Amino acid sequence: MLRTILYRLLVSIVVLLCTITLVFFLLHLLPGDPINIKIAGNPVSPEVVAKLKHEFGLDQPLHKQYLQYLGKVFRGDFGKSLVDNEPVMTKLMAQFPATLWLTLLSMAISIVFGVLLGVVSAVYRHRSLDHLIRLLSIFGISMPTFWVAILLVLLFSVNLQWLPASGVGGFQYLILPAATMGIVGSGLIARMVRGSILEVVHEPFVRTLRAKGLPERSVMYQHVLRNALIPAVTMMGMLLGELLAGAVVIESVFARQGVGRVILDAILAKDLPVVQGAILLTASIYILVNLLVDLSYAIIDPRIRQA
Amino acid sequence: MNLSFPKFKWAIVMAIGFSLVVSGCSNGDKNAPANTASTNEAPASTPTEGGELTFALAGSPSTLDVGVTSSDIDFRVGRNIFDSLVGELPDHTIKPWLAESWEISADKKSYTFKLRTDVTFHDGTPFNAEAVKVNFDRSADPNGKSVYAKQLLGPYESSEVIDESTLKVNFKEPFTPFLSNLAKSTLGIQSPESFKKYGDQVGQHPVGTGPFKLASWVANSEIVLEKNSDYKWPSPAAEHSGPAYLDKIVLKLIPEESTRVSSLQSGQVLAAESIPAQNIVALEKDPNYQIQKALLPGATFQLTFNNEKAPWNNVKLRQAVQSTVDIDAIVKSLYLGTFPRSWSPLSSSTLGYDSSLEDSYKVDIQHANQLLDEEGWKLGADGIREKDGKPLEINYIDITGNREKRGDIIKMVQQQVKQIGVKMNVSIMAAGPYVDALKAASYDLVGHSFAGGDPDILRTIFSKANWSTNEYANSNFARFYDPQIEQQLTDAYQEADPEKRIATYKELQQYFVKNAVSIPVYVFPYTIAESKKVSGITFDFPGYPQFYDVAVSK
Repeated sequence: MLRTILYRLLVSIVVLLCTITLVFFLLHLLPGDPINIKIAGNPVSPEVVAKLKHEFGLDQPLHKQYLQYLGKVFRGDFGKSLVDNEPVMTKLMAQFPATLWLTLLSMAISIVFGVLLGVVSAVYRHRSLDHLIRLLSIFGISMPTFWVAILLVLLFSVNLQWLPASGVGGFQYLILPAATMGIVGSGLIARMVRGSILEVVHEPFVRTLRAKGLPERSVMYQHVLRNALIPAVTMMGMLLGELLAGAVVIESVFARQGVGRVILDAILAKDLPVVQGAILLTASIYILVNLLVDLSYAIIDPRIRQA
Repeated sequence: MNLSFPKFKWAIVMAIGFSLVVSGCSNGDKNAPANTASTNEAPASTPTEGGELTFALAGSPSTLDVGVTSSDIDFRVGRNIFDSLVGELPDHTIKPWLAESWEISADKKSYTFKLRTDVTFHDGTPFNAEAVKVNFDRSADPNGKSVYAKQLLGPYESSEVIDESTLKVNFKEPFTPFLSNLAKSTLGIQSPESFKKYGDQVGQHPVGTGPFKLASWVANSEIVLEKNSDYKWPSPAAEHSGPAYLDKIVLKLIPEESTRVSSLQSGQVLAAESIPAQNIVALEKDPNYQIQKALLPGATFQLTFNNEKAPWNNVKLRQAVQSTVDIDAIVKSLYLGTFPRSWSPLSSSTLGYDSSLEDSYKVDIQHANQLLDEEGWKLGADGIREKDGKPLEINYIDITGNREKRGDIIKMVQQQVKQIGVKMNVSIMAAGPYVDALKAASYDLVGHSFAGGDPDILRTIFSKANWSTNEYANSNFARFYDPQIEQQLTDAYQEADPEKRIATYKELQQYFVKNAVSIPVYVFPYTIAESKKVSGITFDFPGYPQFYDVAVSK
């Protein structure tokens, strides 16, 4: 078990290194020069442009910039923002808690409602309740989040005046954005859970359990659900990526703080150090969570533990 | 996935049902939300002291170092933290502010300012001639990072401290726009001590002499300003004296326009800026809110030809497009009467604006076709004109985002020019490729505006000195050059006699319109929607909100 964990950690580090490299070169491949974007449209002398480039090391050859960046990252220095000179780490850490809470709550909503609806849907398969749930989950997945967000704001903020329309603060500020993302997540998980339960239900061991007279309730919840959960847990790990990406849209719509909004603003301003730092942060979280997901298989299914 | 038909029908019914519920609520319900103003419309005669104003800003300032930045939103916030030496009133007269008086030398190259002696910065350090000198030298430094302030200082040479309260500013040549430029928050005075203390982080720690000082700044969330209780040097436009009425201003950073409006309607903020046209129309009818507008001075949004590149370097061709595009129809249908149409490259609130250009040309498709025929562009089989085997095309570039519905304008223009056999190709690009295309001048037409103050903005957009090169992008997107016009642009900014100056700018506007160098489209109104509980939001001359006179009734 320990060996597995160590091996997975090692792989994770390699993946992170690849991410850094890929992001670095992709960003530099993008057309456009950050300094020109910074001053666009204002009459500025070439000397000022040169000076700004030098200050941010953008006048060096690309491979040098890359090695320098890599060296700095290993020392925990992610550089300074091209826009406001703020250290990237400070900037991200100021914004990260808001994204973390948003992601956690939308994850919780997704899992609770997703698993619940998925199980109900499977138990009542091909009956009207199942149809209704499947229909709702299709809606949840396919409606654009910004549109759902606007509808929720119109209903709960403008008309009912129950919840704030924008900003960060207490728990009440978290409800609408998390619900918006949770609608997508629970739709995905519900469909996945239903599908995999129906698959497991048809396996021979379930027939055996029923044949030996086990009540349907314990067949379902003790045996079927446990076996059906692995694909759903994998899905939850992937969902995290989806939610982190969704945060880019949701944080802008609800004018929340967050890493998603930092990424968006930084990409528009071609603020390379910030984009790199933010992607590195989200990639690390994604890798970490999926590592935990892999390890959790062992808890859910003892067969994996022995393998 | 096997969705059979009945289930699908269900889905549609539900979708319609849901949207009806929501839209029904949003349109119908106007019966007094929890926190709206009482019905008496007249504000109390003595403004309420204290309290706080919550205001939704349409974005996040990147820095509040006004001497360095070039971004509008930074200047808008900075206006309430920094004071200027002079103020400009809407009629373009210049009045004393931190400078009590000034004299201009006989050769028009030096300005001697007598400064107020009772002014202190938020950090307690005194405001004096040395402080102003430090600010100007910093912004004008050729190796410095200043973008817009440097441009506003023009041919700045030096500042001399005569005594504690007397400063002489020298220019290399006469520079008449100086006083008007000086009135902008861009040249607002920052504490020299703050430059030393915060270094390149001074943009996050602004220290001025203004009616409000920065209390806190939470990135992507809010900026809190608090009252400067020692304040007794208000701008010449102010309606009272002494410190501001408000204790606190909370600027909420809400980039998404629909969220900004929702936050206003749900009572989370008392006022919001940059309101979309459809919401202006709705809020104007709502008894709980009022709308304020300031037409921004400077260069209006215009479709500018690349005057250097064939075939659009031919004035006849440009005029043909000018007589084809129905600006009135475009502006009315997109902005629902909230944006005025523009007739000149200069906005109507700019000094020297030539109102005689209004209605001076009209849509005339026949005339346009005739011009193109005369120039030898013959209609081809596909309805596109061609000459020497080349089709008549306009390559238009713009940046992504559809700012102020500019992308929609172009779609309409694209349809309209089809009538005269011109094919318009539209490329909407991300910031990087867009700036590259500007540098390379590979376009035929580009849409842009420039906020400004003084009519000298014409030099920004039409002077040879501001052509882009392959090295860096600049502001003369028209790539326009005519030696005689260049001379007039120079004469105009050096001319000290206001009447002669205005006359020159009028001639220039006539020239640019007659030669269809660009096609002006709309004048941008900066808008604020506010609850009727709020009174006293005023605009400084370039059109930035000032919160000094603001009071919020309970």
